[in-house]
Amino acid sequence: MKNILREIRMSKEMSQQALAQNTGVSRQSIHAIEKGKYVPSTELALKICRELDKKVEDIFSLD
Amino acid sequence: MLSFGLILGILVIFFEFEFPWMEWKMIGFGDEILLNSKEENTPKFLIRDNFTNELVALLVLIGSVFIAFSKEKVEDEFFQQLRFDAIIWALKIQSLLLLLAILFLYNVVFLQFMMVALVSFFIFYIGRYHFLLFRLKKQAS
Repeated sequence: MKNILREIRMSKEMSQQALAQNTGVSRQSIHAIEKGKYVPSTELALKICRELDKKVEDIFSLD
Repeated sequence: MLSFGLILGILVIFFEFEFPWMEWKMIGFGDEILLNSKEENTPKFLIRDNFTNELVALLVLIGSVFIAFSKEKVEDEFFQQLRFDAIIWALKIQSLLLLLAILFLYNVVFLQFMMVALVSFFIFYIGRYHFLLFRLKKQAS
């Protein structure tokens, strides 16, 4: 699975730390998701999308 | 606790170190000949043994469990995934070493290895988990 989380987050001018705090995870987790090293659970993916005001398919997509 | 246990463990296993004041009778079961504890009029469930090696095992085991199960500041699903990966890795290494030990180690050396193997899984797991964590934090910073 690939994602454009970094691009979307940057466009919203939100830091990794802020996104991590608002979604209740660590900054390392956001970093790992952005690097494609970790695929988040459905719950976390939905939280991230809600925070960035996007649909899941806008950020995450299959390879 | 873990460090002290490991250092004491090395002294016990390789240099047969014992605290003289730790020799006492206690409820336990074991081979009297191996334990060198045959005494007249002693009930079978009482054994006399030096408990330095038991102290080492307890220190290392409890210390390892404390470190292995201590939580991160924000313990989220990603860290649980890291822990799982580290456990799988430790299990593979432990199995490989056990296989090699069964094939190539005999007698007292095998027993010494098995004593280490009692806690080596935790050591491998802790080492691998903190290595993964260190690598991640280095990349993230």
